[in-house]
Amino acid sequence: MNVWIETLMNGLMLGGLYALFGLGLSLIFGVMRIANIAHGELVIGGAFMAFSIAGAVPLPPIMLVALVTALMFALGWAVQSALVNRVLGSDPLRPLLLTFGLSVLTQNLLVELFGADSRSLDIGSFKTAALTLGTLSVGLLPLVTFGLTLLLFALLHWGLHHSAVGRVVRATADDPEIVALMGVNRKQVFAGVMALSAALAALAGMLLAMRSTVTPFSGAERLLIAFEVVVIGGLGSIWASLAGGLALGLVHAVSFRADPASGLLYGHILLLAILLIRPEGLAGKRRTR
Amino acid sequence: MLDIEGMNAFHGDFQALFGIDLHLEPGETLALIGANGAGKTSFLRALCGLTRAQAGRFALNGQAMLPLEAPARARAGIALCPEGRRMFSSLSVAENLMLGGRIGRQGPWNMDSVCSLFPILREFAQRPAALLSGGQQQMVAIGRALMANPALLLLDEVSLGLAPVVVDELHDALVRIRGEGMAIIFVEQDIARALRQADRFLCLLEGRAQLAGPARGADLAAIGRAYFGETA
Repeated sequence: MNVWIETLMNGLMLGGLYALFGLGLSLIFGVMRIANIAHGELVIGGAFMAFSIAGAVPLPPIMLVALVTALMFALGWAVQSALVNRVLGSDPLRPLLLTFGLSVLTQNLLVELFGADSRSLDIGSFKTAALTLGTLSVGLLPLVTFGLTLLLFALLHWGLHHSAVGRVVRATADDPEIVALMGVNRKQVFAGVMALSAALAALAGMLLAMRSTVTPFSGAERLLIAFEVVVIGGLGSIWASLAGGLALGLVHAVSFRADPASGLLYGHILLLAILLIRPEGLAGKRRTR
Repeated sequence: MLDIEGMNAFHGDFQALFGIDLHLEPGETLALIGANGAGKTSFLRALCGLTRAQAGRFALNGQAMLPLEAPARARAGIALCPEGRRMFSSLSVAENLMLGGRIGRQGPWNMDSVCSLFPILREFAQRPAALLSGGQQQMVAIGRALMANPALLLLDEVSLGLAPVVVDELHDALVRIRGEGMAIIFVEQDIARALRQADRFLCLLEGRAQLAGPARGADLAAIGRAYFGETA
């Protein structure tokens, strides 16, 4: 019995990390209506940036995480301003191809700089520390990851719905042409959203590298998970990404326990089932426009 | 206040306006009339920077508008209430209005005065704008444009698709808006109503100014010919 409770809890906490993978992708899609194929590389790029900084300067993990998150925020802003903003328009293929190109480029750049070995972020004994509740044992790192995810979702929700900047972001998502009449430069909004997406992705990437290992090629799998989170959860609110992430995490954890050889198979089956039964996603809204 | 000489506007390679001249003083109201496709919406969009335009001269209060993009023109004092209302549909009524006011120009229009003009907006302030009726959405769209306290207010077909009683209500509001001294250009299909509301009119035909003049005592037969492009 305890095994299954632990499995469910592990699934939820894994799902929190998945939700964080999906959140940035969903933000980009919701505001700019583009699929960022390089999202997985933002996740993995964050982890590798942390490896190289940790190798050069020994920083406490929290400082390292904060620094990399800030740097990736700036990088996201720069990439959007210098590249992606130029190809936005009526043709959705152009940003798709551009981000695909960036994804391939980043992968090869990471291999060139770091080699193809798998690495992980060293956080000492914190990695294996566990909290014991009666007969249950829960990893401290997954627990902190989960709490941080919930906090970020809540902060983002508050920012989008109760701040002037959030209002501008939502209005831009509704009608990117008309916001110009309110004095809004939509390209700056897009740059800010990409920056936020990159920062969230990098944070998720570092949390991933703390609990397991990554290689320069790990991005594709994170992108796949991020896509599945967005499709399973649905579009229209950030909570949909959380719902999608938790659902996918639970399915992965349970299927791994019941059928260890199945890999990600049951997650993909969940995706197909959602597409067939509820194409707007678990918590998504049907678009009314 | 508004000086335009020889304005051309383009949608891609297609030229929508040819050599439009217009001068407006503060407080003046111009009715823009013409058949579908005559270039009325293109003209308004060219003024606020949503459509690409060229001109010999295009200035608002002496400030050149052509080098400015749409956000800067909004700050300079041009506001558009667009065709089809174009609400921010996931935002509440109050949030739509706040966005209109975010450029922070000084003037008589704020949340309070807009809600006095359209009392229903105060009642529905917290509702998603998408759930309002067409007429109420039009009030939000007009209110959103007013919140910018523009020097030049552009209204594109505010009566389109609305019940006659709602149209009357909106036009009563326009009378009160005119009293505040901004220049107004509005597009209206009902020519008799347009001439009653305006100081002057401009009739477009296939992107060209076909006929212009004072609204009072305008020759309806001549406007009819200009509207349909018949030679006198």
